[in-house]
Amino acid sequence: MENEAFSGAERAVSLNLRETIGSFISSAYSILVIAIVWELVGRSEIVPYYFLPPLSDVLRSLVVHIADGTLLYHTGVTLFRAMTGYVIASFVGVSLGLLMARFKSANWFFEPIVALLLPLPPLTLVPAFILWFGIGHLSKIMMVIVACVFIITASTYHGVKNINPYYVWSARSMGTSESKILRKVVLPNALPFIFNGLQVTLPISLIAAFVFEMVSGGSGLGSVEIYSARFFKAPELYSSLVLITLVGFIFDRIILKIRSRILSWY
Amino acid sequence: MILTGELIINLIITLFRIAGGLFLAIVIGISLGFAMATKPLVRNFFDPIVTLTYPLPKPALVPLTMVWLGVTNKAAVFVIFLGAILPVIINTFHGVKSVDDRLIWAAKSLGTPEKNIFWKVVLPASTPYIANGIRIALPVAFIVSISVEFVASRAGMGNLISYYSDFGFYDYMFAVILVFVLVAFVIDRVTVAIMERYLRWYDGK
Repeated sequence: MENEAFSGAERAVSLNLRETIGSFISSAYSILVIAIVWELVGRSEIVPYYFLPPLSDVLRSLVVHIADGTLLYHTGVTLFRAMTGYVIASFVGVSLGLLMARFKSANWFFEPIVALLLPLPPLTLVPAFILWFGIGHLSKIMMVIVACVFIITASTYHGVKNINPYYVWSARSMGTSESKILRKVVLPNALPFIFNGLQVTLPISLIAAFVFEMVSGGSGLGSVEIYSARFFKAPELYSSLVLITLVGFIFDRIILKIRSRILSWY
Repeated sequence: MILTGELIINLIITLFRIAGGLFLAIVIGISLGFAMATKPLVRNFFDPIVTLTYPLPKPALVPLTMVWLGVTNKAAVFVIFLGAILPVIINTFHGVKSVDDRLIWAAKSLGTPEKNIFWKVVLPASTPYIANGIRIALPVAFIVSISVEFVASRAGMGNLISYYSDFGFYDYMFAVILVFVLVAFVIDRVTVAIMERYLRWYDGK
């Protein structure tokens, strides 16, 4: 009897496993199809090698360059620039947004600046930033900050403005201090909006760092990619593309996880 | 620069590339979004591709198209197209998915043929979402066009900016940047105004 129950459980597990594998294949088979076609076209030499090297060569170059540390180093450099800028932009953006939403004078001063700079394609400023901040870390970090900060400010501002005033009034009538209202009422209510801003700007921070590296060289994934393209080193070109996609994908997942944990009540 | 015509010509080149890439992205993106929302087979095929390529920084594709298509207009339009198509696909998909079933049932019960349901019910009902997708795609197209012209182009606004900066004409460089920002700003405003005018019936979420 016990044995039977056990085998039943086992069967359920194996069924479950088969189902998950099945759903994985049915949900990702297009990736497999593309990978196989890519490999075949690359091997058949219909197109030149520098056009589309077989997938296996790309993966081998990826493994080799990760193993000898060069790709890891460049990924680290890009991530350092993107994340430093992103963190600074989040702090500045959120505090500026709160300030603008709470104080009329701050809003009067910053509103036109934000309205003008928000739609600006930040990458037009790349040459100007090279001129102002050189071609080291500083110019890239500044570019990431400029690309991210106004979006975060705008979404924080809208989040704070969007609060039901009854909450603030009732907290105030119960005798809550202004600073506590900010922390306990305003901020939690604005959090979904702030997270929207943070979620939108995360890939933007990567793009800003990456493109700056593409244009100005130095180190980082963007410069690896542009150098590989200029010297027709196709496997390296594709492996840096695969790596930046992977990094972006992982970051996207991480912020979704954080969001769903913090905003489980929303 | 305006007098010598240099600015105008390069601005027209950039805008022409953006328009070409955006047009392709809108047409193909909307049809792909529709197909994904209505046909499970198409959806299963493209869904993982869209999820995987969505976080990819689109300007990262510039060196790739440089290798494929050379330093040409075709390459620039192609990158802009690749960058702008994803927001259009995703928003069209959600737009079609969010169409109120009752609208379709009502149309069906009144004897509307399948083809008309698509043109007269599903398409108009999902336009707010599609418009939103196009609005997201617009700045992406501007950003990608500038970065493709920085790296791999012999003309266009991005090329002009990096040319003047390389030779130290910083006053000219800032003038070009200013003009480009203004043009992008005006185009964004005009798009929003057009959308608001034609989506007056839509009362937001």
